[in-house]
Amino acid sequence: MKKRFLAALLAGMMAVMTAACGSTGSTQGTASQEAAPAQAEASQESAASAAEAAPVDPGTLKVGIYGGLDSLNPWTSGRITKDMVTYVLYETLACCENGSTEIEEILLKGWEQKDDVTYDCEIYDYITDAAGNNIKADDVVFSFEKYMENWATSVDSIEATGNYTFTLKMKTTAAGAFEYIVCKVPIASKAAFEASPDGFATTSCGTSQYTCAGGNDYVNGTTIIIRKTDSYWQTDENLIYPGSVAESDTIEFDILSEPTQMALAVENGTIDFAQYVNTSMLDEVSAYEGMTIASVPSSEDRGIMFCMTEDSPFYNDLALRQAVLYAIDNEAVAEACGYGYGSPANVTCGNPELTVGYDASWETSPYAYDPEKAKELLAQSNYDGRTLRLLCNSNATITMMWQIIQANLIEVGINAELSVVEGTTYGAYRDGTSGQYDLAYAGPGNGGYVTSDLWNTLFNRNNYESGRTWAGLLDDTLQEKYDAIAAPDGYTQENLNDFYNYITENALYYKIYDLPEYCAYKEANITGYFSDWNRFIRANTIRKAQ
Amino acid sequence: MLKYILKRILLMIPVILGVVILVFTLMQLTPGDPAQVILGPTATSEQINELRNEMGLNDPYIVQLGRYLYQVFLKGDFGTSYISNISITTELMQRFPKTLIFAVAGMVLSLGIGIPLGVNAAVKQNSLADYGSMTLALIGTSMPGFWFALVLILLFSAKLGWLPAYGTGGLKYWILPIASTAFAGITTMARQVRSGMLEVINSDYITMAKSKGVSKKNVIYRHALPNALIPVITVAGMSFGSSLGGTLIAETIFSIPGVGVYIVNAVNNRDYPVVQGGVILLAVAFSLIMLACDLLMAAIDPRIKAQITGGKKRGKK
Amino acid sequence: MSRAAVMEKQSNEAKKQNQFLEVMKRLSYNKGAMVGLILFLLVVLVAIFAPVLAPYDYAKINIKDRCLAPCAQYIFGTDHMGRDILSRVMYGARYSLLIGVGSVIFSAVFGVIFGSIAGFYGGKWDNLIMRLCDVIQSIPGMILNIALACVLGPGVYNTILALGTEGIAGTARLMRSSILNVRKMEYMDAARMSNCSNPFIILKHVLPNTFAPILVQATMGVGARIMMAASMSYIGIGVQPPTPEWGAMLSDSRDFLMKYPYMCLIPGVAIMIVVLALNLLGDGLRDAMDPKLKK
Repeated sequence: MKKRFLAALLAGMMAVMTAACGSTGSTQGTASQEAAPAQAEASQESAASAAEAAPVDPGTLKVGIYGGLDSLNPWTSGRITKDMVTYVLYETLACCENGSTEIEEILLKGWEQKDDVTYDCEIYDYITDAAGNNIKADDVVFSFEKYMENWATSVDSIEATGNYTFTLKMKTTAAGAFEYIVCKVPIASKAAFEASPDGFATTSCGTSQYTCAGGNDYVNGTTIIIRKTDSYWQTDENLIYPGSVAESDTIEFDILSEPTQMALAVENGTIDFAQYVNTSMLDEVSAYEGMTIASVPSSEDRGIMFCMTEDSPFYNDLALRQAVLYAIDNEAVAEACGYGYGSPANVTCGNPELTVGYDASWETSPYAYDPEKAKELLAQSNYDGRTLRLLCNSNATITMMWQIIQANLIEVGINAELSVVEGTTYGAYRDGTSGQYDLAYAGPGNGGYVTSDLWNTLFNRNNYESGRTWAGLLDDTLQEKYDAIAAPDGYTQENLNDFYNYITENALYYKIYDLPEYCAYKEANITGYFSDWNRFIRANTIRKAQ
Repeated sequence: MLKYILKRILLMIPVILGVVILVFTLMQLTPGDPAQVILGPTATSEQINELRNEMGLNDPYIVQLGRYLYQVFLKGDFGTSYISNISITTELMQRFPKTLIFAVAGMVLSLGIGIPLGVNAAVKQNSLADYGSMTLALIGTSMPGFWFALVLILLFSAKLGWLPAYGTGGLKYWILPIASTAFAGITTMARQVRSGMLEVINSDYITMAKSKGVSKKNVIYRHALPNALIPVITVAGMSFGSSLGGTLIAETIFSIPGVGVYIVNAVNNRDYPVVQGGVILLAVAFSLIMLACDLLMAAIDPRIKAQITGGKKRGKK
Repeated sequence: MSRAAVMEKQSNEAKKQNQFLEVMKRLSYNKGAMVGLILFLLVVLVAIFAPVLAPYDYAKINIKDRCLAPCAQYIFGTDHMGRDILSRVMYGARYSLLIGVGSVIFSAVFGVIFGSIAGFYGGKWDNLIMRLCDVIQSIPGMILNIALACVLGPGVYNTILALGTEGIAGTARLMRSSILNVRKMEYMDAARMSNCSNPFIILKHVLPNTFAPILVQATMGVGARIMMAASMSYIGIGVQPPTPEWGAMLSDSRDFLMKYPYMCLIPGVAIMIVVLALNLLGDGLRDAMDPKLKK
């Protein structure tokens, strides 16, 4: 008898524990009038404990980022969270605004296009890094070479032609290739790199206004503290790039990979600014008193692609491809994955704010949810009842999207099984010639020129050893149309529209929904910030209220 | 005795060699390519192939394995990470102390709390104290770690505001992470001690001691406990070993840079040398701890000591 | 019936009946074990009859009804995709039990085989197998599981394989030491003298006598594996969605711990019931199989 009592007690205790936590959330979530005093008290308490733990310096800005960095080395590869730190510590030759075709010079004094692929560039002669080293053309070449050791680029060669001049030669005539690379490669001096004991792994020495001193300032996986230097090379205020200003004396990046942790930290003031809040937490965070959420466009085009090799059921079967697209309830996906913050896509690819050459004429909501039409098309297709293999990565939001897609396909009579694999395996399987999927999440980058990002990744078959597109398609017309855009002076609206219509009519790729990335902060604490093509808010530009 | 220790340490070599070969082979079998991870999705296969050649990934399996073994065992070098280019030895030495804090604190707590709980439950078998502590023990063994960690954060950090929710620093920062990982250890220990104690209490010699009129307290602490504790040492050693790599979830949730999270990120990035180096370190640590446990047992139990000094090989339990 | 009378009756019967029945008999007098057994059987029944019992399709997504608290229509509420939690927990019993029991059986079968070879033949084989066990055991379990799961890929059966592999070493060790004990017994000499073949001796004489510790270990192991599977879901390498494995449900609902606590309470309690039931049963089995331990 006692053991049965024990079992009941056990379940009871668990219920009480969860309920106790639950009540925290509901008082904060609803923020009702009655709960307000208690809540204020609670937040004071936690603020006090945070203050006790680490004395808060008014000049310190604490920023929460959702992933760690393996190293501060600006040239090694990493996720976007790495960029969030790298581009605060290092400057690039130039930068540009979201969706703009004009680049704004930072280190570059000027540049000139000599022929289709060659660019002559000059940098200012008074650039110095944090250690006082003068940055010369050799250092730019050094930085590019370091970068190219770790990233695949479309740079053919780079050569110093003088103390402060160099020539950059690209492999492609496609518009945007030059712009992309000069905005991307962080510049540092060779002397500083060689003087660094661990190759910039835990310390930094760039041309920006901040440096990381290493030691206790770089605790891998936990915190990165960067401090403002006294001297900034660009003394002409008119020439300072808005993304290079330094608003705080010290910036502390706290790495918070668990979404709940990030939400709690910004709510109780442990951090001033959450660089990314999971959409599932947004309602809760925004309901918190005085909290503001802001968004930057997502770096990912949330689209799907069909395997187009000869073995695929989608090969030569437009009706089946269209049936699949019509079957997907993109409104439900947007609602589910965005928790009310997402929107179903009205184009098959591209983003009005980010994509250079985006045209309003694309917004026809092709393949909007229409299960009846899907069934009709399915009947016309050669679909033989086989189970389609859906492939995606194990990101929670993406997985949710694919569960809905799977359910939608089954509803119209297409059998489908989902295969969710972790990131690197997904990366290895994503090529259509891998034979691992019939329908896959694509998620290409969607910023800037389509020939340097979106369509280049998806459709330029020169990128792939198989000689086919990413999804394994062998289509000469498509490649001709792509080459027309990538030709010198080929980046015209006419060419772009022609290409867009071709991929849309042939149902080669389909964006399901749009979801910006949200950040959160207390309105009273933060008065301004700046973001550019990097698609995140630059921590150095976040202005804290005094 | 010294001969025995030396022999055990020599026996570790083939085991560690086996660990290296196993982990190396597993990493080779994993789909995904480190060169692809480094260069990103837009890399052409030419560029990937070039990098693979540079990294020696295109060599036959046996050549790569041989090269790695030569590098680790003859040059004592774990190499550098594919992704960050940082020396793996340096990184591991920075991270290992944090993992060690988890493991040591977990061990201290499970011994310090688990043993008294277990003894008390056994002595007062079928009492309220017994049921209470065993209920606690069952909760501990049936709550997934990540879930318990989140509950702790919401309770002690969000609601009560007593403790910081993440980060590293003073003692305060360690309370929640350690509580979240040690709870399961404490409860396992309590259960183990309880059943061990019951077995001893019910054995003939204790009954004999009781019947001879030895006081109850004396029986329990002088006779029963030491005997019940012998198997506990192995359990403690094993759980210490498993907590060396098993705290990765707590490390993730509380943003603590330990070895576990380092290895798992490396698995995801296909950073082969990091995975191999990390696992070797943990395996060596584990083997040493098991050796220490065996020596400790020999020091306590003359029967085991006789086995060891008698030169007979003894299988671990 | 007094306890002494029970014991007497048991010892009388022990002479006639085989060990298994005797153990079952002793087990049936253990209330805790019986509660555990009944709870476990209930869960098994729910798993078997899930298609009949579940009010909805476990994979049916209904975004409009997402995150509903328990109500008349959805007794346990709905999850973040509007799926009925009750139906998911019922179907989840199938997958969680399959993973727990499957991986334990996998470890037990291979552990018994390797352990028997090591214990019975000794010498070279013993050395080789035991060193292999050392290798597997010196890699932290969680990390070995993750590496194996990455190699095998996700899915229920691959998760079983990944979780099961780690346990082989422990079972093999246990089996080996039991065999070493049994080998010394007189009846083994008798069996050997009557020219029985080795596999026959292992099956007929050794296994039944070493069965007890393996069974206890296996019973306790199921709960541990279910928990391990939950941790793997947290890392994102467990079963495939929309499979409603309890650990995956728990992991999916962790963002809603504050707002919708019932969402993770229900799979959490389900895991707890199974772990509790199996622990009670395991404790009872151990007591029943160990004649020294008279409770």
